[in-house]
Amino acid sequence: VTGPDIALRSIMPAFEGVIPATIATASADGTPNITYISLARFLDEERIAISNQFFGNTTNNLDVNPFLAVRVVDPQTLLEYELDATRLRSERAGELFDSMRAQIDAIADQTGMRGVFRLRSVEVLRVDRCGQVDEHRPAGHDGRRSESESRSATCGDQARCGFRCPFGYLP
Amino acid sequence: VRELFGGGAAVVAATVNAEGRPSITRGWGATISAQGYVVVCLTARTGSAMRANLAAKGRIAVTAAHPATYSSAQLKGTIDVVRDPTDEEYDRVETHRARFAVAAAEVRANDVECLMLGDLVAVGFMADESYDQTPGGRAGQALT
Repeated sequence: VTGPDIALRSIMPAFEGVIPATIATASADGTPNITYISLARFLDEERIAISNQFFGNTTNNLDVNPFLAVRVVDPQTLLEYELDATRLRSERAGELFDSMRAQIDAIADQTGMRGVFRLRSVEVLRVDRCGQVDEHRPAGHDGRRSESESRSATCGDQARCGFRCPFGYLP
Repeated sequence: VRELFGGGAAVVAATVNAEGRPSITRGWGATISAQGYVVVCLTARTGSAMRANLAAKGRIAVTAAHPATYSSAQLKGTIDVVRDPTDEEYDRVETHRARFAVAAAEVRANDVECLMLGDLVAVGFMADESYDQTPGGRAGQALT
């Protein structure tokens, strides 16, 4: 992630639940844990909410270390963004929880995962930084380019070559 | 797990800085030895937080998830080696990318004309933790 901080409001489509988000947490001893979530929702310019469908490691990590990395994808531009975030609180009831549970249930129905995708809680996060992941390359290259070449290959390549990269739609 | 990592799965890696903040990146062309030693090429731009975390040789997690079956697993260990990929490893990256394209097509994501690679570094670590992450009853359980 490089470049200036990006306003959350400018990437609203990334929070519409079209594309699953990836999150990483860390244990007290610095061991990371990765998981996928169905939904990251924009709350305001400083906060988002994520669906807690986590396994034990993620929950345990958040109890001892509130820092997370969250990757979201804008389904319109197919650009990825990495958010450095801090967990503020968990909600297990209320308007936000009910609204996100309804959306999770809809996603589960669409993906044949009803009964598997279960919302345990909503985690409200403060976003400390949001940056664009600018590690993309155009077609026809396999990574064996010089560093100067790779520096010139940013997300703009996606738009220029007009591709529909599948990564965002996938784990 | 070896089949999952060697097939068309999406591979994601995470590291952590000294303050406990995680970073995420994508991985390609992973191999796992019979002893559990993992080598994976990671996207890690020079000057990035990920690159700094790798250089510090702390803990790493690498997960693989098949886009069509949702079959998923995660491996963790302490970073042993960080270096430029070999030609053979670049070839594995390309093989993985091709297999991923096939897997992506299974969920109707067909247009794989551009792929996200970026500056790649090869990372080696001995996996000392492994978890099933496939959604369902066994999710989160340690693999034996």
